[in-house]
Amino acid sequence: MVGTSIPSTALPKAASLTEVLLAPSPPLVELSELHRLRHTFECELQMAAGPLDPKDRVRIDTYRLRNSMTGKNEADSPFRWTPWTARRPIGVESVRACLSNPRLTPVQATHEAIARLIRRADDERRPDSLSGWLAGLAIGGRAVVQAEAVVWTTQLLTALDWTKLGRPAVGGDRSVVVGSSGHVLLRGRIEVLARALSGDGSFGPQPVLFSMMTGRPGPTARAELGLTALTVTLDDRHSEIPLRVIGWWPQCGRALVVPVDVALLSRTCEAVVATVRATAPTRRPRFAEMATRESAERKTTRTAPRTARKPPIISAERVAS
Amino acid sequence: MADQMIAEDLRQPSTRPVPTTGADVLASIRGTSSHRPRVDPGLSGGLRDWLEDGLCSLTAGLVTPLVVSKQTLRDTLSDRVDPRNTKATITDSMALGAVMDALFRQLVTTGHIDDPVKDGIDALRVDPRRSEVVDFVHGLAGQQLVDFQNELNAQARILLTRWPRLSPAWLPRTQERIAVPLAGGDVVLVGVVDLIVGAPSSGRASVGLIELKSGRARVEDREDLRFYALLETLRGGAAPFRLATFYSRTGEVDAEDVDDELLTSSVRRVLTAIGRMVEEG
Repeated sequence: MVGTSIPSTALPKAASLTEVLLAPSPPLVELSELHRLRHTFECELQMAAGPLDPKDRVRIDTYRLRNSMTGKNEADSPFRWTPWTARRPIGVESVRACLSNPRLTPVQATHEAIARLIRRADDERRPDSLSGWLAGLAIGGRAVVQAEAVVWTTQLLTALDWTKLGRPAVGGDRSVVVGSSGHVLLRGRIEVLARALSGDGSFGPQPVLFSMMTGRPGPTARAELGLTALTVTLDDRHSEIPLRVIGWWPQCGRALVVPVDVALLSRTCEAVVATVRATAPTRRPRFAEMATRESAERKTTRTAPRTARKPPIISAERVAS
Repeated sequence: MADQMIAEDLRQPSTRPVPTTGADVLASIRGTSSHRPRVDPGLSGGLRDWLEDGLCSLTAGLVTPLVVSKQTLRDTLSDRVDPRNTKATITDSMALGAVMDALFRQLVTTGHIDDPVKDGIDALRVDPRRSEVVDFVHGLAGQQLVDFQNELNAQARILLTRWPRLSPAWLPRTQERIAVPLAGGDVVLVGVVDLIVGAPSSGRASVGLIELKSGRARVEDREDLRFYALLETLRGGAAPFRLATFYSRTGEVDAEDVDDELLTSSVRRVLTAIGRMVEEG
């Protein structure tokens, strides 16, 4: 990682991260540029997803994007709840509870969140899958789930200086269906959405995003964060373009600060299109596969946007270690 | 006091340690609360630079990423086995350690253990990566099963009577993973700390690391925690203030303060071990 802008010696790290997250900045993406990018993206997606069955929908999240970019073409295994997958939804609820009641600790908040979910399983005729799963666990199993959620909650609560964030939204993941065909659903994972400061020190209108990641930053980290930014950008319900997205890897204490500009968005669009294209051929009859792929590739080359064909200029990323 | 006594015991394993009470355990973990050193702002970066410099000459031709854990360090430095070619076979003591880790986690998080055997196995069963341990325990029969259950119940009893209730305000979190990539990601130092307490540092050392051991006290136990202290320093930018090992077999605690010498000795140990791994191809 290069271009460190958050001094590694500055403690607490939460203060530095918060300062960088909220720092004022002029918008980096013009609306006209966004319209062009969106139009091109939708055209390319339509071609890439063309071979899909009309009933199919490809969901692109960070997991699928990463696998596609790193060449891992494993068949998707069905989702199942584990302490590892359950920690985030429980953690998000617990962080919200801790923020609204500062005397609450992660241990207490996670205990209450799990108790609430289990009650829901008892009360409702058709409880959600997490509630049902938790209700079926024995005491030892629930303890592991809570312990994992405590770690997650503590990591997020200690990552930022919450007193400086104004009114942040915690856990506002975004899902956006792109294009008229409805084949592609983008899923952006957001731990915290806040508003950047304006020049006079008050909170401005522009969103800034914070994602807490697992493990350590890999070569696809920028695209993963780009997907989060792209999902917010394309969400018509809000019509806002984030200023920056910060990825935070608590396991290694590293952060990646990525400004949201046209280059980031167009490169992320390319990665999404490539992922959809890689998915589509596996879902259509083999006899049609080769011809359709060639055709799609020809069209893609012909209609590729200018931004996608030339290597985008990406401003120096800012990384803390 | 208890720390000194146990530290001496580690040097002379024949001396029988004196079990500690919950209050003693708490005191051992806390250390001298007035002795929370100011964080040296250059220490973490200096240690990282030292590691990076040392790895520079070692990592050429390495099969990457080289993942270095406390176990690979131990195995490499003791010439026990080639850690890269070994898939550990589950033994009684390993299974006991896994179940005790789960019970410790449960006690710290929920404050209670109802049925040690059932709770421990249920905890492992929910984690697909621990299925081998669950299968091993289910495969026990006869006297071996009785011995296992007796030992587990005895250690759980010691844990329940000696382990203090920690304030939730200490932010206790169990089995937190740390992964520190070095040499551009070619080497990754990894660890899973049984218990971390304290908020991240804002100028003074504020974090304590605790390990639970279900076996006999060994000199290498301290090295494990010193390695974790190094990982935490590299990750958080601040060294922890205290390291403690709780022995559930006896209820004793071995604890020590963290200083620069401890961390630099850990750096030397890591570089020595990686050097050997590279030599052995």
